[in-house]
Amino acid sequence: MSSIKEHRAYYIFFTLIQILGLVILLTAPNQKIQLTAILLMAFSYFVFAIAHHMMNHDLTAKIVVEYALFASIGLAVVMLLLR
Amino acid sequence: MIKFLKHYFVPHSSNDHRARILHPSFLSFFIVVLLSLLIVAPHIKQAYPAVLGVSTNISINELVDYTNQKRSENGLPSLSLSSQLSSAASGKAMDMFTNNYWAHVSPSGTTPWFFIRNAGYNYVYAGENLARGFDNASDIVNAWMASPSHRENILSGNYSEVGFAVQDGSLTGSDTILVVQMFGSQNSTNVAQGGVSDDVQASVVETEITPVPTGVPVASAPESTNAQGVAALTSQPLVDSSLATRNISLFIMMLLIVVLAVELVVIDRKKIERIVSHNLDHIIFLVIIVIAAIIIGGGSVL
Repeated sequence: MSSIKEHRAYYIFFTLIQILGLVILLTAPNQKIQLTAILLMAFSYFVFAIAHHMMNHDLTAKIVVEYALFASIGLAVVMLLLR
Repeated sequence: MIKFLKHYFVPHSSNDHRARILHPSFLSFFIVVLLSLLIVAPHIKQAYPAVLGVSTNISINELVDYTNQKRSENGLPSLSLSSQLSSAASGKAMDMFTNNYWAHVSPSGTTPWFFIRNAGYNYVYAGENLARGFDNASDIVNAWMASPSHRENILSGNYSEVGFAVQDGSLTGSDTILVVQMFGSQNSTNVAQGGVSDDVQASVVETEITPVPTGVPVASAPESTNAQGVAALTSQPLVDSSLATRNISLFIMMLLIVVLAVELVVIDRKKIERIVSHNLDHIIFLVIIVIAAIIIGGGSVL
């Protein structure tokens, strides 16, 4: 938990970005915008997390794969429900 | 058994201090399951609609009853079912499916009033509520009542009649059950201030369901203002695809969130040093997706 406290600002910013994506997703007038919103949410999650690891100098290929897989799961779930 | 659970769900020396289901191979498996649902399910639904489909039970009688129940609870007189307004509602629903739009005004600028006039209904006041993706009448009316603009239509003293259409088809890329509710009052039945007015209280409610080609009218009012015996859209497949999809998705997401949270605590307590992705990043992202899934799956109001 101490590492979370250390990076509190990052997590707050990260959460706000995701909430913004959620608001856009839920208020989008059509499916194209909804799909764009979820793509941007997944992309920002991936980029922010990778950048965070890079700043901490602990980025590895396995970590990149993990983020890519979680982002894909999130994308698949939303696309499944939007279908 | 405990060994098995520890291996799959808790960080432990046997799984390199990363719960097995968080390993890339398991995450890939979840993706395959979700993609299979995304790709294969529509084909099964088309080929075997009795096995896999959307469970629906929407009758116009119920829609009228629930609408009038809300009005009577607010001290307003009941609306009578108008075949002309139902015909207008059917026309609007068909137009939405044909021109693939989800709005009160079509991309070419056709308003709801066109359909009402076209059905031979000379309105003084008129209004429209739309809903999509709900599987029962009660949820539709409750969703309308939860939205101020839809509620205003249902509880307006300007209207004396109502018409409905329930149709299924493919709309904006999704298979959807569309409900159009049209309100009106004509010269002779006008109860409010009077005067010709496009007093439009157009409102829309939505949810998503699943795919099939063009919109086919499956339920509209009969050629009578009597609400008895009107059509209903009912289907009870063996497996409700929308419910199954939603539950499987939510199960996978909740499982991952719980395991990630447990890991976070266990790793912190045991002070294990490891180089993996940050659990809290995943938890935040997945929780946001779960919230989106719950709201999208349960319908929304525009």
